[in-house]
Amino acid sequence: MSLSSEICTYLYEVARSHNGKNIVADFNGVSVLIVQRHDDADHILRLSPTKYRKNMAWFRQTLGASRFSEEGYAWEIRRKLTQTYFNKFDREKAFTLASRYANETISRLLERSTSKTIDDNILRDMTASVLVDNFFGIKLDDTRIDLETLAQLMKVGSDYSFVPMGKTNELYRHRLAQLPDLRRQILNQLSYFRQEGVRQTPFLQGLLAADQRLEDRVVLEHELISFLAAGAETSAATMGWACYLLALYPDVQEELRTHCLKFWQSDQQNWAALSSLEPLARFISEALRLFPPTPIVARYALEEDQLSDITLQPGQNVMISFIGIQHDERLRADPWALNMNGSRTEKASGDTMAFSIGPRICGGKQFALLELITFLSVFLNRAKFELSSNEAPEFYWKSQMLRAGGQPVYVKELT
Amino acid sequence: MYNSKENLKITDIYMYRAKEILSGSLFIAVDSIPDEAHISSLGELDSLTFELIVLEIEKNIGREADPIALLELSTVKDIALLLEENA
Repeated sequence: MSLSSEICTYLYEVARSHNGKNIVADFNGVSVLIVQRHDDADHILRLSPTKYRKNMAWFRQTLGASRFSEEGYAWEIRRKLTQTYFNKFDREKAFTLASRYANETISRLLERSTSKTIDDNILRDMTASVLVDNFFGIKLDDTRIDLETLAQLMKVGSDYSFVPMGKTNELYRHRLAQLPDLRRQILNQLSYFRQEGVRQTPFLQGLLAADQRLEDRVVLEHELISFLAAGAETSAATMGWACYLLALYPDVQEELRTHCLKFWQSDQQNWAALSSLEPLARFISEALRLFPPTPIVARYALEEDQLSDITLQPGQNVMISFIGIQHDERLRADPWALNMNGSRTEKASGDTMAFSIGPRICGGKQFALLELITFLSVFLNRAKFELSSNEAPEFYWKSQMLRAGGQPVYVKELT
Repeated sequence: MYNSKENLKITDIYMYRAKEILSGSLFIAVDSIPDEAHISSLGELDSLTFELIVLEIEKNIGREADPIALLELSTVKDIALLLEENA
């Protein structure tokens, strides 16, 4: 067991034991302020972002420099490359693609209806397929991308994420030794996007052109990895948690299904109509609140700063815990339970917090919400979800928060 | 341009291996690494990257490498030569 594998469990424990309070923890000899207060997270991420830098060295070192890890000019140029497409994507086209791949996915899950767990790989395949098809106009199956290789790369990166600078030991050295082979495999797979004859959407054209401008040091493969990691892995993790919550709250599942059956039987099967179904959006927001797929973001204080209960010194490591913030008992009566009553845009909801806030908010937030709501509507239209175990979740962190062993849920045909 | 390992002469094989080491360590495509390149011109050479280069070299030669020789590595050819000398 390493700190990286236990971090989610630890953050849930801290959210209970020090609810609504920031605490200073010691991670492998490094002092880390864990921020659990919404006002302080808002101060750091949105109001005073220049006082902090993103502390994602591990991500950068293992997965390559990308808009996810960079700061300043390096971030700006990468952001400009992709953000237009994330902002102005065709909603109805994305809805159609998400519906199609969700239908294929639910069929695959129903084929293994006796399985006690949901296979994360099937969900990952679904989200990556939508992403690649929508932004590159390419079928994931036509590329050489093996999502398992990417998952392994992210696992090695996650294992490395809590190793203080200069303190690598034999365990980490052993894990690091896996990196070059994984990287070569990924580079080989992603070389597909450099091939002549591969369809070049404006999105890919922009990335390839930037890759050719050597001075900016934009590497196509690094951007693609970040794109897949941030865009597909987190949505897959969220759908896993959503299926678990549906099984855990069968009454809510039934209520939501009523809306979905009506929608899929109507003659208005489009995003404009689906997006008006508030209960579905509320449920996704609650899934993101209770089980944020990206449970933390890390910052490093560049100058002295005053938070609500502590004065930070330059050099202080800061970890914003979305788990802590979204379970603050001052903000909701029972933050540990699914609550379908309320606005999805309320303070510290999944909608408003789990994608982060401020200038470094997740660029793909709107796309993610669209596909998650669409996946949910298709899943509920085709299947029912039942718990196969009442065990409390055991968390597993692999750059996003997963459930160790897979979600304990049967996926069965509707009768 | 190296299209297939089979067509390489012996020296070229070590050049290719050196590029493969740098590809995995610096996370860049083999094809983007020129023969004459300095390692530092290919990407950021931080502590992790250097550690990975050392691990990869030692995996290739099957034993620990001379620390002095490792510190003197500055080009792709230096790595290829080190591999050839320790073959």
